[in-house]
Amino acid sequence: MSDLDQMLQEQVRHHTPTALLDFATVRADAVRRRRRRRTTAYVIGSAVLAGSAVTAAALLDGDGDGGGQITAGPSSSPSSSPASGVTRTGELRSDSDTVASCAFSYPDTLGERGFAFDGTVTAIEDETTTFRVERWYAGGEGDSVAVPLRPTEAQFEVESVPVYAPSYEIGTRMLVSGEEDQGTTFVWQCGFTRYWDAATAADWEVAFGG
Amino acid sequence: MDQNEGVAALYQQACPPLIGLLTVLGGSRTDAEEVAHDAFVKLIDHWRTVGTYDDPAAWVRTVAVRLLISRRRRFRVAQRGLRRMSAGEPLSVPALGGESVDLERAMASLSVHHRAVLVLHHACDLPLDEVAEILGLPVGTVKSRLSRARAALSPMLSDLEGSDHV
Repeated sequence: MSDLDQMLQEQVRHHTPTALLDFATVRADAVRRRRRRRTTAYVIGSAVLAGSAVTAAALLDGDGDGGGQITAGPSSSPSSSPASGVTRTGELRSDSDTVASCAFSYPDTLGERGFAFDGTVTAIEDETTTFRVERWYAGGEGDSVAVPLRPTEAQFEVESVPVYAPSYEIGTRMLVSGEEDQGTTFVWQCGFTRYWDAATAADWEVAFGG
Repeated sequence: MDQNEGVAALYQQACPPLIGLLTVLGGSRTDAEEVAHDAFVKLIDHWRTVGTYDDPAAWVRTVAVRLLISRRRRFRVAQRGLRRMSAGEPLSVPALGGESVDLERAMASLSVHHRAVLVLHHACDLPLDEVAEILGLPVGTVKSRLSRARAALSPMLSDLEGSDHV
């Protein structure tokens, strides 16, 4: 055992409580906390949207489950996710999940976005995600693009057992749109960035006049 | 034993060390307690399946670690959204004395993602593939984060080079 093992284990022991609340109290508190956070935890904007022309009011998902729209099992036109085997569909959610309102509605104003592309994730590093671009709909060119975006955790269930997976991973194909503002790229949430499927990709083609 | 009794019994046994682990991982005793409690409450709904596992406490630990990381991420995002405050988050942990103060200071300089890898591997003695599974990461990412975390702590540790972990 290394010194680091010993020191960290000592830290864990140091912070291990010697007394516990009874479980009935813990259960009641957890339920109360969840209700309170679901009804009151509003924040303004999100990291991705802050500073852009859009101000969104986001409702934090209070129970700590993330909240991306992830489903397991086959889908008619899924975005493939080779690393985890999870099939993702629909809208990509940001860290401040459950967007309550956005200044622009999807898909009505989709065609007005400054950039939009169909891309497959090739790298995720800190706050930046790199895509291999399959198709530019607007506002860009080239085979690859890096944008300020990062995955969050989301929950889905398989046979009633909760399984957590990143909202996207290397290999996930997405439809991404947003704006450039004074040299800074903002990927839009609120439905404007989604998991790829053939039908939605066709809609985007139409929206951008393809 | 019904599900409430089963979970309550496991709670008595496994919750204290889980809170210790989460406190070191996340830097906040309050968050650690809430997350640990939430994980055990979730277990009630899944006891029929998880109760048959060899080590149901490992299920709770996985759920709790993921909840904590998710919570810390949202905390950072909320901070940035309100004030663009992306500076390091101070740990609210009462320190041990001596070299442990240095360790906690060094730990505080790491992101929760790096602390998670470090704590799960070194304090829980979990192999890298198991750490990767808990965190939902490729093993290569776990290795690189572990290397970076250990490098950050290396000035205060003399035996890292001789460690037989990796």
